[in-house]
Amino acid sequence: MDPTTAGYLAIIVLIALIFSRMQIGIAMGLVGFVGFAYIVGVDPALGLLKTVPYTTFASKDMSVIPLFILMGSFAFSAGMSEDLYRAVHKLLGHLRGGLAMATVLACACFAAISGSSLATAATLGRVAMPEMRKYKYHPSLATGAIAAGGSIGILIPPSVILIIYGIITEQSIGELFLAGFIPGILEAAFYIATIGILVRRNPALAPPGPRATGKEKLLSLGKVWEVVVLFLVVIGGIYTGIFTPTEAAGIGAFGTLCFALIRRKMTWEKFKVSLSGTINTTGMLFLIVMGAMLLGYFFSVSRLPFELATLASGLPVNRYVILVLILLVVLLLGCIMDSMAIVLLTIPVFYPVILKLGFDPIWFGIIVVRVTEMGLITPPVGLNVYIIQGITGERMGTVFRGVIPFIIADICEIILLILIPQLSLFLPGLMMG
Amino acid sequence: MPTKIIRSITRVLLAIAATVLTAMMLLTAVDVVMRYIVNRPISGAFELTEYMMALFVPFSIVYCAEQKGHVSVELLIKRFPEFVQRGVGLLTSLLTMLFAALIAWQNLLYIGETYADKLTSSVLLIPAFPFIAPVAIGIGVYGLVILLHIFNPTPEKG
Repeated sequence: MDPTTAGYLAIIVLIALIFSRMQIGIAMGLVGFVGFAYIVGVDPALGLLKTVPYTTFASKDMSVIPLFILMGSFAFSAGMSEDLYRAVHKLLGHLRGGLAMATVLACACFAAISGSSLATAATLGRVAMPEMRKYKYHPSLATGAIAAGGSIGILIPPSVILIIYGIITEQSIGELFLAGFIPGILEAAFYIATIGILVRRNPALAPPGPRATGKEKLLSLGKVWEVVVLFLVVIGGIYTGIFTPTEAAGIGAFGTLCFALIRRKMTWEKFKVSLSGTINTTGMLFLIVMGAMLLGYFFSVSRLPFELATLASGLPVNRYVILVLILLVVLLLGCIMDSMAIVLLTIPVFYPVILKLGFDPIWFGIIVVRVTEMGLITPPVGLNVYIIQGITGERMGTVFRGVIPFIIADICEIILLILIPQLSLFLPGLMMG
Repeated sequence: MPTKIIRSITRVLLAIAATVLTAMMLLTAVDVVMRYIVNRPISGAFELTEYMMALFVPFSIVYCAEQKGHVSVELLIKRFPEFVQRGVGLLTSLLTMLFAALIAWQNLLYIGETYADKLTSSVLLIPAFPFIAPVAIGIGVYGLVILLHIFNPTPEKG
């Protein structure tokens, strides 16, 4: 069996192991190890087990991941997401559908200081759902808005998935962060427009809420200035080149902790919960990263990505056809698997194809992450949908019906991002130029 | 009894990981402040962060396993009868343990090699071998946690 055939076989075995409920990181690592041993030899493969885990973990570049997760955990424990919701709620609450729009906007703002999104969806589910029930919002609109809004976090910097993408493709994390900014904002805008269209067509979905006075609006905004400061320091620091992403993450986590302490929102108990939550997520990510590194060594000696790239670029079709096929694979995986796992699983295989076809690597990173994000709300395993269903106690069917308009919005935005690469590449171009 | 021993080991590892994580955040923040404000960066901050990561990450993998937080796909397997699920679960757990044991064993060897080669960090000249031990310990204990879960399969946490 030649190495490339072994590579294809390995992919089949990997999928079988993953569907047997083996932990994804271990499945990737095990297949990588056995494959490498088959092609190169058992001793060199054992050598990989010796060096790869240590070099993967003991890395200054990788330390950016737990630090950004910690920042989000602190912000979450300090109740910043609830404060954001209350502030935006005061601003938009009187509009038709305003409470749902406020949910989306609050998610987008919280994403600006947090690297992951599930926690956001969970908190806002607890805060926003009772409000929307009080004003007789239709449950499917309410739950749909929370589930969709909760998925925004992945693209708006800081984003843990973009960091991982940057590390495995050797692209600049700073550029990726800036590239994700406009598409992230655009996503929020698309969701808000979706809500606007829905309530215009059927006003009964969302009766108008209370109008806040000017004073109330100002007061509520006073509570969220910390979020603005943190975002400006972290992302501004990376943009101007004052901080490396790791430094920005350290400062961000420390700054968030200080704000939480000053507001007296950080107890010893909450501090411990923030730490153990961060440790849990870090452990989950790094097991997959370790597996992906081992699998990557095997893929490169199997020459499979290279062969695939040659094959794809030789096909007599437009390169966008191949791009769409790749994105469909990612989307299908997104329906059953965590975003991070998909990026680590597919990028080593597809990335050489994308380069060979002449697509921009930063732009592709944004598109791929945007597609995995859509997977968070698509059936059968839309993670956000399950979380929201669990918190609100609405029926699964109601939530899935609620997210359908947002899935359509997702598709429209992805098409737009593909057609206009400048939406992703404009900001990083400014930084470099 | 073995359950209790492994539980207390994971508690200790969690405490170490939490302490190191806090220290890593403080080190990064203080280093930046020292560099840009006082213009005196902490010497060796880079390699200290690397060593801290070596301590922190393997133990976080253990904690995540204990909390059943590692990612797996149960969509397909759940459609099979109970005995098939158990059988497949046993098989994948055994493979996982075997693989973890291999990694732990190789890293034990690696500790010896880096000790013999007198490998150190470049600025502060701290020996590297004690920081390979956490990988061996962490992945080894991770395998034990998987073993433990074979005997008491509690429902997965979301």
